[in-house]
Amino acid sequence: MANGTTLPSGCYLSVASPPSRDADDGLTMFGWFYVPSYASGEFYSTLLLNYATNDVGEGFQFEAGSSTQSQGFVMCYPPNYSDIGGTYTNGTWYFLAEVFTRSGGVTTRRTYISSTAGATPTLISTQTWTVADASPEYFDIGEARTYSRSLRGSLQYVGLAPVAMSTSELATQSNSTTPTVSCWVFIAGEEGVYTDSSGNSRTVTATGGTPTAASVGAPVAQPVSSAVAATAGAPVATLTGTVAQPPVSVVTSAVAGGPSAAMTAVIGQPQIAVAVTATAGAPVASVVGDVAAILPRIILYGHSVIAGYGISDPDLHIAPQLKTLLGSRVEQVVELGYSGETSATLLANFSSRVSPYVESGRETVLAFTIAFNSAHAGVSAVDIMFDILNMAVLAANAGVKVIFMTETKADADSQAHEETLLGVNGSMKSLWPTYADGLVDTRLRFFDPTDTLLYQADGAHPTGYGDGVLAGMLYFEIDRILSGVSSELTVSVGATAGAPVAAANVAVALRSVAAAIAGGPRAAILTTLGTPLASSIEATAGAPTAGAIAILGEARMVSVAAAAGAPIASVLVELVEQDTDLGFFPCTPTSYVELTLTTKTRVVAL
Amino acid sequence: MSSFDVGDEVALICEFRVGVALTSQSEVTLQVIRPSGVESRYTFGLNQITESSPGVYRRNLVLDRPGRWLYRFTATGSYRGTTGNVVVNVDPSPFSSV
Repeated sequence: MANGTTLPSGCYLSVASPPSRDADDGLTMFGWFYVPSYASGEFYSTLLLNYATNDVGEGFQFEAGSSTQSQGFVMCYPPNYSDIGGTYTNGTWYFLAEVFTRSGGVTTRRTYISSTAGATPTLISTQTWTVADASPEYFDIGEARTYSRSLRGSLQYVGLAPVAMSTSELATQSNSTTPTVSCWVFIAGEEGVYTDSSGNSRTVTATGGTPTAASVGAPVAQPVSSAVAATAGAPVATLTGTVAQPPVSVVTSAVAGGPSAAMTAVIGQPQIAVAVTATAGAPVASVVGDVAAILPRIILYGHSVIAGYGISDPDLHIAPQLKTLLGSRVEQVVELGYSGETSATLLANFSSRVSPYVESGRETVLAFTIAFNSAHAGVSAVDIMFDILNMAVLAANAGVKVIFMTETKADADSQAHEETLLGVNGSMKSLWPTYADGLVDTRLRFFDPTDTLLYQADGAHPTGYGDGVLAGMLYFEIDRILSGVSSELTVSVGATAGAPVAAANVAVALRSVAAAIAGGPRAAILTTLGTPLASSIEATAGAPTAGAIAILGEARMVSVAAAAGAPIASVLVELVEQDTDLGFFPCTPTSYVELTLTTKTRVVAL
Repeated sequence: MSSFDVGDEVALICEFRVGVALTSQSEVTLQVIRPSGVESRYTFGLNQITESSPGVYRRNLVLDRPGRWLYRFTATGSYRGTTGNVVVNVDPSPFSSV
């Protein structure tokens, strides 16, 4: 665990010209703070926005005893220095956050406290005012400037974000050593270092003293893992690994196949796990490694759509637009596009082209689309799928995560070509859960080749704008995969019988099946499936009706059935963008099926 | 796909229905990706999204730069659902700055 930064009495940090509390997207100040002991009547400042108008900051302080409370928290301006309750304990790290929103001329400030990293912070105060905000001069940390209320303690992982963070986002941030939302400034404050690591290169100034490394650190989980390896062919192997952050656990080993093997590992700051290995077998091998965070890499592979055929500005190809969307979350987005090539050729050259971009220890996601030219050449859907699945297996064996991209519709297609593509697309949509980690169904947007916004004049290749749309579709699937969110739906089922018989059985994975069978008066199922990891289904029996309602978001394939042994059975399915099989079992005397949409959105000019 | 001009103020509106009935949601989030790639997130519980009538949610937005804007509404409370990704295209102004 890295220790924090201690501010001596009178010392504080400041950053000039922070954003206003009235910003359109709100504002959040947060950070971990620690005061070893308190003197009665003293105040210990943490986070403040400082205004030139009255030299009084919007801020948050620990209060060590006053006429109204003891060891509680206090908020200043506005309204001046009001107690907001809560209690604290000496020598404890606290994660503090102030979240501002402004709506309808009213500014709302919510103050949160937590002492447990990763836990949902407690809301201890909600305050409102109508006065519009002036522009703050400084974002101050650890002092109320002329009021001699310095922190006299330690801080770590302090930030200011130009957005109103939710409690779940605050919980995530409280357990992170880096910004988890886009921050205006972020000061990790590890071991006395107080530079900005938000990516905005803000100047952080220390006034009234010199910050030093603290003897304690905030209880925040440290980054994940790094690995350094050297393999030598014979007598001597030497390895030196310098790890930037201190490990929770370190594994080191040296194996000599020849005369000697030596290894030195210098560990500085925390990692969850670091493995350093040197194997000797050849004359000399030497590695000196500075281990940094290994960002994921995205690879786009395929035919002319990937290559950006016909788009003169390379910045408008899919890969650079996708990199813009993913930002610093990924190391790079690699464009491997080969116009005119068939699936067989792309498969044959897969290893030589893609493997150089696959590295051990780096998470890699491959999205590919390879069917179009094969279908155009008359290759069958079955043979094309053979190439697609083989490519997916090759990638998986290399430790690469795979996204299938269905083929866009082309205006010049023959009917046979289009039928082949439909067969391939259908197979990909059906088989991706087994062979891939994700699916991007391009047909949801690229189904009308006469749409000149999405298609070039040839009615086959996307425009730069169209490539932006494809990048957006890829973004959400890659975001899901990098975030570790499962594509499988989990559903719980509850059934309550108020009369003779009610039963509900649901098994939802990548395919959903919901069924209600009423042998008696009434059974009903209401299923709501959007993009949830968990949904609930309830069935209640009591009257002479059986019904099943399924509201589906992005499920891939769904089957809904209702069977009634009594007067009425009905199935109502609401769909959003998925393939659906409806299983309907008619019963006496009445049955019907309806299809409508669950959600509907529109944009209205004002 | 909608198309607007730079400077247009628009309302992003989403209806949530359970069965056929418009139904209020306990948790609604709006995500907006601007042409610069910057994503903003708005939450109903923080008064960043208004419920104009039961089940109907909206937020006004000034389209202050040209390019492709993406947005989606998501409900994550008792009922869960999403609109999927919606693209709003903002045309660049044909006029030079005054």
